[in-house]
Amino acid sequence: MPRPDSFKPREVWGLATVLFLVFFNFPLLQVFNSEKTVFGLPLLWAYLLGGWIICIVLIRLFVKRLEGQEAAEPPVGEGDGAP
Amino acid sequence: MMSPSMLFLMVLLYGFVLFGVASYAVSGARTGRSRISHPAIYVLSLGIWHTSWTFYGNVGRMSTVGMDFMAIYLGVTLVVGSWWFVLRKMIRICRKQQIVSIADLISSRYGHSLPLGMLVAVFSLVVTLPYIALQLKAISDTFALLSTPLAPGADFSFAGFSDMALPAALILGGFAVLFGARHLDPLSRHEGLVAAVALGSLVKLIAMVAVGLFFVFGMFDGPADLFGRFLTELPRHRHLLLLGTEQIPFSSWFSMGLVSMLAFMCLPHMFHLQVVENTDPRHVTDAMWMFPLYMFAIQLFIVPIALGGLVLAGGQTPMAEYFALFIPLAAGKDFLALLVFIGGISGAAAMVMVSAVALANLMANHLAVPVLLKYGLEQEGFSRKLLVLKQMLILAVVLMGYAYYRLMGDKGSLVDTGLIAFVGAAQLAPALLGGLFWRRANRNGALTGLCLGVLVWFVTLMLPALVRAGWLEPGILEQGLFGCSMLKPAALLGLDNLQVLPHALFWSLGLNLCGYVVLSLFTQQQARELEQSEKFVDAADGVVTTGAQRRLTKAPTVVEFVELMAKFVGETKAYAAIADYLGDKEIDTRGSLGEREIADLKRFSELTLAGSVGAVPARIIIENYLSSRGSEMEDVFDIFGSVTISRKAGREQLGVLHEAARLVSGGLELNTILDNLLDLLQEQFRLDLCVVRVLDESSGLLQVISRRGVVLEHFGEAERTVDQETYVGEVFLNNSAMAVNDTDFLEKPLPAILIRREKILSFAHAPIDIEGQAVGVLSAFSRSAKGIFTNEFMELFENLAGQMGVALRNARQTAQLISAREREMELQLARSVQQSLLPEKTPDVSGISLAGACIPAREVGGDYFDYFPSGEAGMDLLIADVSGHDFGAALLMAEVRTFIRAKAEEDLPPARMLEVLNAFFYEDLSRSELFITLMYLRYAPEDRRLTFSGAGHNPPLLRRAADATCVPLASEGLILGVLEQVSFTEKHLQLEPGDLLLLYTDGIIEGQSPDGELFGEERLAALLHDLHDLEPEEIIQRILEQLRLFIGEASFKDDVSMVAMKLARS
Repeated sequence: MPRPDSFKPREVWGLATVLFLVFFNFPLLQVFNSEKTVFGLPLLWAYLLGGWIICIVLIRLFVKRLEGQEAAEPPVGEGDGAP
Repeated sequence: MMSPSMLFLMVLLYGFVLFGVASYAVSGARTGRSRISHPAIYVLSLGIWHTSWTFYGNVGRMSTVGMDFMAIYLGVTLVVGSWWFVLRKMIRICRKQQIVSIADLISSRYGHSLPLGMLVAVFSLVVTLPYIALQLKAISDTFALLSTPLAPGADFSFAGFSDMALPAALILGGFAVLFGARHLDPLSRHEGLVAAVALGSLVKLIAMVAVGLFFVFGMFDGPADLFGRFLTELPRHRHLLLLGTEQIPFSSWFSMGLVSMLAFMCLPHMFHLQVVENTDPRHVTDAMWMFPLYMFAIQLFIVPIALGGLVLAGGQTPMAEYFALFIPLAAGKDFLALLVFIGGISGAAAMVMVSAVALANLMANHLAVPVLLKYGLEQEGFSRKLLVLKQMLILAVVLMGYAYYRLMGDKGSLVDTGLIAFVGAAQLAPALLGGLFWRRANRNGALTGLCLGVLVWFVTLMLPALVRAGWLEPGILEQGLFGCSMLKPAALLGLDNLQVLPHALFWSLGLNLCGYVVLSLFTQQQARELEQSEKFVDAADGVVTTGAQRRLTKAPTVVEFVELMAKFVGETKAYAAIADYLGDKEIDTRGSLGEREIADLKRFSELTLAGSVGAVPARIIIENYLSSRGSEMEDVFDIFGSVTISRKAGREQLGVLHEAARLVSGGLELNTILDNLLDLLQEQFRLDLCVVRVLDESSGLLQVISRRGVVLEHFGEAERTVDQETYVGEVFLNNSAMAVNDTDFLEKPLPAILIRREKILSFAHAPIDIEGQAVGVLSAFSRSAKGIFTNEFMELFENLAGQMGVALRNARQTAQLISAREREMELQLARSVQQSLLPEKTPDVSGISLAGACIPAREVGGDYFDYFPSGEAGMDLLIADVSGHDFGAALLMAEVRTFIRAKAEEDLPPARMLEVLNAFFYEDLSRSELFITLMYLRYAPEDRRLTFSGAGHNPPLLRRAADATCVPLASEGLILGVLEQVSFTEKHLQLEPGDLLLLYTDGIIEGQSPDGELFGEERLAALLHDLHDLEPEEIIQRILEQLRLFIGEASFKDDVSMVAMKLARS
């Protein structure tokens, strides 16, 4: 038996999608919607770029976790993994 | 400033570098080792997303409107994050079903719908043309700009061309043909093309980063300086750094993100690179984070370039789109400008080439080939023709893009033109994504949604574009379509406070979705769709197993698992394996299992089966078994169990057989099953024609009942006689399959002529039999190849024919059952009608008790008895037997009854009654070759006098109470219907109290015991003697009981009727 794993990719992905939509949309964007600069960079631009980079890192972690899970448990439903 | 010829030379040089890389990749593909199968190459090939739009359009957008372009890349990042669930599933499905385009995918999902495929193909072309035009415009503009800089609008000419779009289109078309259609590839993979695109993406990245660094650090002192100067020098442009402004309301920001997400999936060139050109599904996992990173890097400098450009241009924006090009040029950095130019060309060229190849495939497969096949194109050298066709189509696509550019003018900005394409492509998304995840989605929904979406897209985006280009009156925009103010392209139904993009997206996608969902919910899927929807939606994604998710109607037992395994590995092995598995576990082998045990046992059974049939079939078998328990699907496994498939049989063969078995047991109509089986056969083996002929009992000919493939009159339509003249006849007569792998060598003269005339290269026939008796023939013809009917194929072919036999048998049995059922219902009706003709109650005659019974041998019979009052207080009794016990007899009986009842009022004596009966029925009886025996009696209670006359009927038995003897009441009358004029004699008899009279038909005395002994009159008389004390009703029951005992388990051969009359003891 595969070890019980509490990691549920679908739920995690669903949550991440919702958060993504919240963070990059009205009204939360309004918080950063100003002409101020941080370290000489426009605030909104810096916010969007920073959030984006964080997203990429999170996807990387998510994928790594999924790959680990798939390696631990041979993909039962995978059509291309047949010998 | 550079000379046009110099630029042209550089472009050509770059083209040759690309070509070299592509050739290198192709040479690898030929040796079987892909040189492009690497995640990084996959990611770079997806970099095609960044066309010249990224280089110029975004910069222009940023410097005039604001940073809403970032929504494009953020949206795509979200899509890429879902690849684990979505793209991997798409790739898996496309591999399994050999799908090579988005039109293919959508039409396959909705039951291989040809109209849907055509619609998607046409629409893909229509929406991509603006995007191609945009790339040509960018190439043409930048070429002109670089060779005549700082003088926008100055006349440009090079080698006779006033604009470079046409040469660019021709050159790109040529390259696309070279990369994408040098030879036919069944999988539509083009490694050379991918390599060229990937290299182009690398060049784009380098160019973008280089020019970005030049802006930030060459023209300014770092980002802080750049943004600082922007804010101080151009305060009226500050809104560019904000969202939610007048130009970019949040609705536009959101729409931009959404539309790019959908377009990223649905644009034909994106679909092609993501799905079709994917060399290894594992690359998707790496690309999930690498591609967003690439996007991040390439767009990072767009804001600095745009804002820096604005600062340097003093806030002037007419040339804003080309800041990245002419600012380095103005600064004397010609090389950098050239690099940007090459980068832009790369983006444009890659998009145009891949789109052209993808669209050419789309049009060839969904428009040209179906049409050509329909009109019976010469099939000789078809593949070569197809290749030429694809090459022509590639050129045609590029030239159509050019035509769009010329016709629609260059009034719209890059971004506006791009958005037209994006919103158009997004219309495919509901059908595509819904098809992957929503089981009920159906063809009607997809067609309706798509048509609605396209219509709205045309009204809201294309009409304004046509007006801008001067093809339509501007009045349409002001007054609305057809002068209806509700139909203003920019404000449908008066919705006028949205910008163009959110407005168009809301209405087109909204109506598209509504149509799709509503029609899917309220119309039925066809059988083929049902199959496909299961395959698509259930295409397992990674770690989630489908079997475990399905609910089982009843938990299976260990024994059932063993039986299932035994069908594949044999009983001994199955039991040994299960004993091994159970070991000392305490499991009730006949009891239901728990969830956990089922999961364990399922895995174990799968492994056991996998050793014998391979992993994939094993899983298919187990999962289908579990999901179909209790349904008709169990037949599948019986069929599997009875078909002997050699262990060598590969996955494909098993797949086909499994599919076939599913079809056969799916409970569809015979014709649908056969059609689907032929489709399966034809698709899997690329045959030109498959035909099923079945013996028509009435004509004795083998007639076509199902056909798939090209129309060949003689082979696909004509019937065959059952003789050795034709191959079909021979196969039918010998009940054994045959294959001809080379039609140059044929023995039978007549078929040979026809076969060669139709250019058939090889063919095979297999008998379709039901329990060893041939009933039809399955035929397959190929025009494209000799020698395709190998032994393995024939094994499969015969198995398919066998399954068709099963389907035929099922259909015939069903038909028989239905007709029997219908007949039975009719007979039931007839029987109840007939029973109602028998007298309901006994007449009220003093001193007697009376009872009668009639038991037809079948549903209806020819026996009949009746009694009714006559004369003052008397009573008439009669019993009759019409020869036969079918409907004819029953009808005649009814007629006789009506006649007698009518005549009874005339009070005719019995002999006279028989005479008129005979006279009346003689003609009917002799014509229908029937006859009637009848006994007519009249009883007068006042003097207990019995008058009777017989017409060849068994003499009734009279038991005298006085001396306990039994005598037959003989009367010698002729059977009715023999002669026209007969006179009957009449006899009289005095009855005494206690006497018992029994009228009966020959069904009783001719009842046979299992040894063949007859029941006989004596036995009846003895029985009567024994039973004389009972009431008539009971006497009849007892006689019937005895008769039943006597004849044993057999049912009555003849109708049995009796009337018993008993005189009360005084």
